[in-house]
Amino acid sequence: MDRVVRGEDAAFRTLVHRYRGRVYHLALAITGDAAGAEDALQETFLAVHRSAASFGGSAFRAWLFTIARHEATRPRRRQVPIPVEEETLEALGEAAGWGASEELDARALRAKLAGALTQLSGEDREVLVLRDLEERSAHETASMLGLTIQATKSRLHRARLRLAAKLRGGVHEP
Amino acid sequence: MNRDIGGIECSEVLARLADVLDGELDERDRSRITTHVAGCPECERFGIRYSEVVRALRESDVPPAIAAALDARLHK
Repeated sequence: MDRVVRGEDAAFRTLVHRYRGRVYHLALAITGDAAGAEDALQETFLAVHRSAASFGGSAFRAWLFTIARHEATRPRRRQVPIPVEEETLEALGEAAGWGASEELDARALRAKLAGALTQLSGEDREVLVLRDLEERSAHETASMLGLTIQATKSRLHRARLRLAAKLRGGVHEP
Repeated sequence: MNRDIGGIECSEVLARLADVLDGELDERDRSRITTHVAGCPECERFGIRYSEVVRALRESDVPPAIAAALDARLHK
């Protein structure tokens, strides 16, 4: 980040390349809309470039995700929320492929990620953003969601299973 | 699908997958689940799928067209 502050273009390109995927999927998870997520992605890195000199220097990732979250939650980018469906863990697991014999196609799975994310409820997307994209701790995530750590873990597990189920099924581009 | 292998059933392995992946099991539970998975191809296969979903999120990139548009916007 010091090199970005000094105006080194190569350093900024490296930083963009390293984080653009997470920022895009974070924005997509918040907005549920591909065009809004792309716009938020671009605005986030423009803001990083503009504000690099004011960066405090300790927790770059947290700073970046705060900017991305701000860009993605602008009111015009909000989408109508999708409600959470409550199923048993076994039913969720079976939908996600638990007990199925099919082979995993990791490349196809990654290609469908964006579309699958947009089909999840806002509640599921939120916990996935905090724990799996921003990699916040369970404790910090629980505090942000106003839940116990156990409830947060349960919500995360169910959200991952629902995402796995969406990835297993036919998913359209967002 | 709910076999008891290593003193633990498939349904409990399913319930504990997040703890496995996030490194939040004590030694005893880790050992039980490891034994179960070693003898249960279905749970092994699903464990790989589950971890791949999380890895896909953490290592995600953007589609080429979005990367190109981002690059053009940032460097114009």
